[in-house]
Amino acid sequence: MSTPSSTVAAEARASVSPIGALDQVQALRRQGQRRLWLLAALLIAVTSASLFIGRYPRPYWMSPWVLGEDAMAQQIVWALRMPRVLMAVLLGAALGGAGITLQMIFRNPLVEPGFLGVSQGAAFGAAFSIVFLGSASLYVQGLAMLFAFAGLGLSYFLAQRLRYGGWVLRLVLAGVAVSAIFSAGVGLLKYLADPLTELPEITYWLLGGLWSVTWRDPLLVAPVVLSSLTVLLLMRWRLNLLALNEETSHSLGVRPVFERALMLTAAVAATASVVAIAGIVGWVGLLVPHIVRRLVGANTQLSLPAAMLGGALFVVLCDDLARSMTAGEIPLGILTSLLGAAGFLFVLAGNPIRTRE
Amino acid sequence: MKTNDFPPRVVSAAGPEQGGARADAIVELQDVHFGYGSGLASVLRGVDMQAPAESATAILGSNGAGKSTLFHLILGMLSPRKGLILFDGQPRDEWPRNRLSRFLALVPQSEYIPFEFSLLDYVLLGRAPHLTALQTPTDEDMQQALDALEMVGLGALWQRSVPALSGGERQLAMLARALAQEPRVLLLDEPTSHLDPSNRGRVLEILRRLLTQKVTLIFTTHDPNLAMSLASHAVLIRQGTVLAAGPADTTLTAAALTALYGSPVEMHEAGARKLFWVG
Repeated sequence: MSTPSSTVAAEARASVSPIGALDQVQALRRQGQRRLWLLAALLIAVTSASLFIGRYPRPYWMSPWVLGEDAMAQQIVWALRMPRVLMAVLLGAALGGAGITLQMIFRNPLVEPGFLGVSQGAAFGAAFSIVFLGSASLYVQGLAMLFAFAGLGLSYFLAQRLRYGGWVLRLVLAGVAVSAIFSAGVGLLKYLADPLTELPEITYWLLGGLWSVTWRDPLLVAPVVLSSLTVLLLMRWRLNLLALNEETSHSLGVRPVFERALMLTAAVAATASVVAIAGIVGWVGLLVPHIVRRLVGANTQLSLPAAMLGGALFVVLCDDLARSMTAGEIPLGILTSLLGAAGFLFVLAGNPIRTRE
Repeated sequence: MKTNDFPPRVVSAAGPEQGGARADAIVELQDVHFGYGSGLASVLRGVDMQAPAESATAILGSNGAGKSTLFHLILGMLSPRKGLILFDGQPRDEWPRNRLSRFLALVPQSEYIPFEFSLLDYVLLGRAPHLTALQTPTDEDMQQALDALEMVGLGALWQRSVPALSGGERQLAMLARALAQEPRVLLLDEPTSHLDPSNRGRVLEILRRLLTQKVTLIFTTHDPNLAMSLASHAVLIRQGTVLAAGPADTTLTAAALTALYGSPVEMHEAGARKLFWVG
């Protein structure tokens, strides 16, 4: 059966000069892909260099030659810096990838992955563990992850029960309410906590950071994070369709409920896993998608992988600063918020409408 | 109870549809009932309608008459409480999802795009029905998208960001995306209501060209003159029921439109053209 509009297309092709438009399109696409590879190369370079950044044997930089002679240096690089840098990569990739996914699904460029009660749920879980079960990292991380998923589940459940607005608005409202409930719970736990031991512990966790990371942590979360990110990467072009009107995406053959739920679950599972280890690390998932969209365009076929790479790059750099700038440790969450918010303002102050040339 | 007693339903006296309207209908609704939520009032009550293949069918009705609901039913976003929706004589439920989206495309009235998609990337989304969930567009798909853009006259703007387009260009962009789907039936929701006269003229010209290329058009409109100039068939919907349906020239009368809108409609003849004046 010949479809009528293939004749339409053929006629259009014949009647108007396409003057190698396809060549131009391909050239532009290759340019986008080159930028993606550049980002990947940059990430590998920065990640490798990060193994030599820190406070030993002297501030800021350790010469690679030291590694051959100094057993202590070997120990620090292998047992402390390497898992930590790896964790930073996972954390950033998860937050960046989840951020752009959620922004597309909610059709809102101001959404971030901690949305839907995930961050506040994790915070509540961690605080609960510190007050009632002690601060052993297994309990803190386990409960943080449990409550991060509980936050998502509760938001989802409530969104189905609400009788107001469309699907997106219902999820947003449910997410806001669930976050507020958990946030009140964190307040209560802080009030109950021992002000000399438990309270500082909670506060420190809430600021976010990777200081306590050992090999166990990246290995623990890598399976969930990597499989979730793989799902998102496989559906990277399809994600575009979810940002359209409900009726349009439906007419394009999307199964909105199923596909949204699948990608949402993947994004939030990745986020919940890394938040459980690192605490609240804000602004990465909000800022990075905005920057990469300027770099490779809005099409998620390129911007989704770019957001993962860019997120990883941003967090690795922030963590380098966090552990090397001062003799103590600056909580990572403070740095990402500071740099992220500043970067966000900078990006938004620039030309808001971007035309690719 | 059907309230299509005024004016008496016109059975076409002339034209190729005579007697064979059902066989020719590419989209057909049989006694379709629909209501949101159980126990609430029905939005559509016993709608019968046929859209003949390779011609344009206009759907007219006041705000809230059920036109949008009708579109959502045809698209499959909603399911009728009762009745049948047939495409090519085959019940909609028997159509696989992807085949349906290659058969039927939608041009919405407007669309909010929060991200700065390039025009080409936006139109390329119309290729989704021709790809599996994990595929990305090929060169062939890009060529189709470029062709669709040429077809609506936006070929030169393919790199432009969609939010930077004018209202008229955005309407044309949505049309191009629907054309990239290579559909046999195009559903258009008030295709010209937001447009200035020059863009309106452009859209009409493209739609007429599509008709010569065997695409079926089904569109809603508040403008009887648009229906008269473009459509060969018209369906008038009032409060969820079909008031009148049939060939445009016999269905679109001053009396029928007065009954439809509840305010006086006059008809003037200008040469071979009929012009309606509302109010």
